[in-house]
Amino acid sequence: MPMRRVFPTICVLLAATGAIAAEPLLHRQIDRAVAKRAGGPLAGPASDAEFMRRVYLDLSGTIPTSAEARSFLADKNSAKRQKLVDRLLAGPNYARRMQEALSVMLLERRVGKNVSAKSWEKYLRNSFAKNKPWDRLAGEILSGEGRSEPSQPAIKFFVVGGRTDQHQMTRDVARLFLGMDVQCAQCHDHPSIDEYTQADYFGLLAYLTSSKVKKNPKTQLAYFVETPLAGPLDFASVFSPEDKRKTGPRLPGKKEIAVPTFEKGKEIDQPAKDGVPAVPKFRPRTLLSEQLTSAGNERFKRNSVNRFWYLMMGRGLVHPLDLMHKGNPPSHPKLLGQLADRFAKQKFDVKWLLREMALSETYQRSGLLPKGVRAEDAPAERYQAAIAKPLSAEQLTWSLLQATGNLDALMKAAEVKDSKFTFKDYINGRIPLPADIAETMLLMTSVFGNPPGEAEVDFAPAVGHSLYLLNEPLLQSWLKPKGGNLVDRLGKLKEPAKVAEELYLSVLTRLPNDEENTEVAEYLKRFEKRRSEAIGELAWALLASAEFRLNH
Amino acid sequence: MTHHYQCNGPDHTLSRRRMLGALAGGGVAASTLGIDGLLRPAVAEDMKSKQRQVLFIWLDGAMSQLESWDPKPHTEFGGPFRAIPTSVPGLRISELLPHTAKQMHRLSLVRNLHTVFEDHSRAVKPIQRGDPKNRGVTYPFLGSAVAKFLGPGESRLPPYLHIKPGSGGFHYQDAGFLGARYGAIALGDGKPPSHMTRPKSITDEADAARNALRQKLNQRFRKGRREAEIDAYDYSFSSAQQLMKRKDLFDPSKLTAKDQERYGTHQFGRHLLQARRLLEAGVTFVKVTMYYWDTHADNFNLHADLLAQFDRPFAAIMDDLSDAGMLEHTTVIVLSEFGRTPKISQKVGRDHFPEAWSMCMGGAGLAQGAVVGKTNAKGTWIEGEEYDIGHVFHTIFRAIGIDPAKTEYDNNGQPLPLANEDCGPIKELLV
Amino acid sequence: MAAVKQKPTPSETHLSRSLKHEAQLTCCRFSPCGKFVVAGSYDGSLLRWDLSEKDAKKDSKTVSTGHHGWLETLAFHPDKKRLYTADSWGKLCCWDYTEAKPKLLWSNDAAHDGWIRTLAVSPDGKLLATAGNDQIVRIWPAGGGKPLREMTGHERHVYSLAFAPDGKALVSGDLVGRVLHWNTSDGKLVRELDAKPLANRVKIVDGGGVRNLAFSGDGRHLACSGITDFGTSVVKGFPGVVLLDWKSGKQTRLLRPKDYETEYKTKGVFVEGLRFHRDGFLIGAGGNGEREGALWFWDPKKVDPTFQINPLPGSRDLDIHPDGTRLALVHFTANGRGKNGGNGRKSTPEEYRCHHGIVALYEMSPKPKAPAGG
Repeated sequence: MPMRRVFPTICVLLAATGAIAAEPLLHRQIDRAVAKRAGGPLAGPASDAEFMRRVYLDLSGTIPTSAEARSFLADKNSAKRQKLVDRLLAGPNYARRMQEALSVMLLERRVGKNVSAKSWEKYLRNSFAKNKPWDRLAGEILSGEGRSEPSQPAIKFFVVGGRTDQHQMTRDVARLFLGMDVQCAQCHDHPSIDEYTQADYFGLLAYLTSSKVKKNPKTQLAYFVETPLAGPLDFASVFSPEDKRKTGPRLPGKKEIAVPTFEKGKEIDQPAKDGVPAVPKFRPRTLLSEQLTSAGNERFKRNSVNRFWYLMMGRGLVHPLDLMHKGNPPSHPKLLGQLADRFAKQKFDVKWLLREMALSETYQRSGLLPKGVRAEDAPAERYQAAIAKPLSAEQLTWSLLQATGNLDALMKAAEVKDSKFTFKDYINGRIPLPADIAETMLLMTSVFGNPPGEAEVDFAPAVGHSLYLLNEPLLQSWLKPKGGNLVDRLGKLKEPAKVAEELYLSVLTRLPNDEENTEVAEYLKRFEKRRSEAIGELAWALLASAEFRLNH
Repeated sequence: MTHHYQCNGPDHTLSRRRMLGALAGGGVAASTLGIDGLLRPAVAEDMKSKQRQVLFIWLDGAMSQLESWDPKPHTEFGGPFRAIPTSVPGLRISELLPHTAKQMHRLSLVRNLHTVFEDHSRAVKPIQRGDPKNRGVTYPFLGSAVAKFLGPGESRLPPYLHIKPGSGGFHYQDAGFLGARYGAIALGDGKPPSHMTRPKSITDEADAARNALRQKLNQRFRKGRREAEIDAYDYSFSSAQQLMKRKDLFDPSKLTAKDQERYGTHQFGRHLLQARRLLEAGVTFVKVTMYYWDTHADNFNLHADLLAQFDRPFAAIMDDLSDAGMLEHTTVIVLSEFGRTPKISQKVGRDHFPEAWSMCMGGAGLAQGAVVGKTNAKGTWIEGEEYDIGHVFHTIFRAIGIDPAKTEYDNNGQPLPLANEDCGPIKELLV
Repeated sequence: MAAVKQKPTPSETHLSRSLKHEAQLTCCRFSPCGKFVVAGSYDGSLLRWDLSEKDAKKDSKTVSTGHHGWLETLAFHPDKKRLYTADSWGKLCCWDYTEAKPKLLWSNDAAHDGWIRTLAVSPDGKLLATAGNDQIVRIWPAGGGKPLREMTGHERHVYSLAFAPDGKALVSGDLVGRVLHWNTSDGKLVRELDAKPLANRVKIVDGGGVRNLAFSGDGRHLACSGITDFGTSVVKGFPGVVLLDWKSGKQTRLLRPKDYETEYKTKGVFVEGLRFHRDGFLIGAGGNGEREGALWFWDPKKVDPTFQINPLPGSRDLDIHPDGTRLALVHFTANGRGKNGGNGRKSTPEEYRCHHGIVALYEMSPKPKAPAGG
């Protein structure tokens, strides 16, 4: 059983250091706000094991190795949690984890050839490695034209498959950067949400309507460039088509930008040259990237912190994430405002924000409900206990490889050049098992990711996932003893208790309890004639358990 | 993350207690959908006596009512086709449905549907959700709702299977606030999901042993936690295992030449034959989607083709369900997102028309051979009473033994009506 | 009528007269005597206009009823007296069209099971051929009675028929691009020709088909028209005419409108009307709506039209006057609420009416100059 323990004194110490600053530490503010609205008892703090697994998954995208787990559990330093947070934020896997999480969030598993997945991933990874301020990163994604090298891949956001028309782009910019699902407002004011008006929709569309994908005929390089905008957009509600209206670019709740008129032929600032498209004088999308990401744009700030909060805590303060409006108020309105303001004040420092969240008691709370509290009496939005999050396809892949001890070998495997691997070919038996990490990831995301264009927010356990775990040969191959992998290591341990300890630490980042020790011993005894297979089955059972599948 | 708890009867406390009892007592995956004890204790007995099932045919893009259920031959907008007599005296439907015409004594028509959505993107989902009033939650599709009410039954097979052209997958979005596990398992082109076969290296004994371990782990883990996700995860394994046991349901070699001839080897024919096999195996809710009904151009030639594809297999499955006695407990529904305009466009098409359209339903729990409502002579408006999709949902729920007047959902403590409370059942169809 | 053969000048084609009917029209033909133009309608009626009536304001239209559903096909007998019409309920009628009002000579209520899509009269006037959705091709004595021959072989709806100029062959075209060549004398299938580019499998649906068949006067070419790359929900497709060499049966070329790939991408336009002019060029007409139609004039040796007129209202049919200089097209004009059909939301029953039909008469000759000083 996970141990109940008191919060380490680290929090107190931190609070003391924080007293120097004018403002209270953000993680204290978080905890105060959550405590205030808890409406019932709060769960105790997570055990070290629980915390470690959670923070590893959230900040490095994978579970720890058994060696890392052993050393953390043995560490007597009272500030070890904070140290771990800092180590993970500074570690090499942080940028990869953020790239994976943000790719899934922003692209929603859309793919496209205009910008390679590789270069987009590299761009995002570098951005997070350098801790690029979030407003700048968002601004680059929104304004990117693909002209200059470093941020060239940023245009992928707009040029992926399925986002090829400006209406879809408008909808996705509103959803992902402003927390507003304005789809209905395309044809008339949102029927059920007073705040999403058709004028808002067309105001946003006006920023994007003149942006087009162009290709350099010489280099085949894709651009996402602005072309001259003729004037404000006309629109009329389908309910009152006679009422014709116009709007220039305008952010919801902000002032409309006048569309300047130029003499014919004078709209261009720099003409097209060498296959590089022309630059018009008036570039509304550039304005969008500046205005939308400015500290004065409350919606952007709130949506940003809400999405990072969701990544860490498992549920947005506003949830669903893209329904930020009066009818769907935040669970903690004041806290949302504080997070937004402090994030902006901190110059949109993502690491700082995640660190503060990770240091909060709220984050470090156990997933076990307080004694005597029933699940239905502790709704998720009160954060009385930690909310279990599903592992993303990427987290699952890294964690399966890590747990089974096959990660190093696969990372060392030669990259398949010009891989032709597709999910369809694979499941139809036309091609062999994935040979490198990229092919492995492609297979895993095809099974565990949502179809393109569908946000991954809630846990959606599917029969297809279970069938995969039950029957996939690749997974079975990972459970055969090979060069120091988990099953190989366990096979060399004689004592059942040692097997159980290494197994549980490797897969579930915790020590087995007595019942589990007995279970392992009995299983090994029952199948002593086929011990190696039995060890594989024990490992499989842990890998296929809900405890492994969830980040709890 | 959202947490979803069970649908409750009027007595929340009682229902909740029952629900918790079921979950805590059983613990294993089978009990997580053991819903029969949780919903409306009063009806549980009736429902136990006979497993209710639903065949739901979704004609996506919108079938023209004028070329099918509500023909207006030789009128201003009637189009070229004739109306033909059916097995119900006095009832005529389009000549494009000659085989279905002989089944009408087992089916009923609703000819006075008036819904609000007039384009696909805004109609397809709300219609299948019954267009409830907006309460800031996403309602389940019909299939998810029925899966919730009726559970998997004795078959233990996943209760909501969706046969569709193209790719398969798990359509958890169908479930709305009920939570992912009530989503649809989509069988792309009627085929089973991948990974249905266990590697030969894993024996039955080993498989049973490893899964027993997995379940024990889950039982330990769920203690003291919010259990919805854990149970849903466990349930996905038990569904998978049930499906693996019934691979025969997807084995084409088990099909008789006669059935293939009767249903046809075209896509919808194959899919409806697959649907019959799933219903025979006891699957609670089988949805079959047929696309390409959105005939904005050349409506009449395309409807002649599409309806011919629909007609024979539909009549065949009606015969088969009837012959097997399954219509006693199987409700059959044929629905689109709206109808098509009477006015024939300049592209010789018909456009979207939610104002006056028709649907067909029958089988268990519903009147058979009835015609509800009427449109005017030209088919342009409804004369007399009109029904919305909410009425249809009330009617379907009543047909499968759930009374929305006496039952409601409990979404995290928020009581929600099963169907739009401004509507009631279509009385003429209740039996 | 003019005794001297006039030379048409397609490049000068201009509208001379519009004749209106309150319901949509589907087909039109000039009488062999040149005096009348007739049309069939969605309301099942047969319309006849007397072209010798000089006063354009005076509506000479006669309306003949008796058909049901749609009247979609009609054909004149060379005797300059008889006119055949057929409807979508399977009825075939023969009229004396020369009377003050066309007089029904005989009719057959069940000439086919359902929709008769096409009629053709043999060049010698002895035979009448019919075909339709029941997939059967029938040859009847021109005087009516029982069918002489009944040909089966099509497996889908039959849309078009044409007799070869020598009268020995009858061809029939269907939904999936099959063109069957029948021996007129015994009804035997001679060969199958291929107009497959006109067959459009849209996922599970077959659309398009051989909408028209036309022989060149010298019998060398058989033209088959329709649409390629058809789509329905998102309306798309390219008008096309498959030109076959009659002797070899091989496809010689696929005739297209000019710039068809850019001009017609999202219009879903068929070549609905198709006629060979006696001077050897081919005229096609088609289109939807009020401005998505065109008239194309092809030299059978070239893919691109030698001349085309667009935009025009979309035509459903085309005929050439016996004098060789005039054309008749039928098209729809928007009527009532909802330009392209609409769903009638909020409109009154009075507003919610069917589109009108128009017979548009064109002259392939220079426009008469406006009187000087007028």
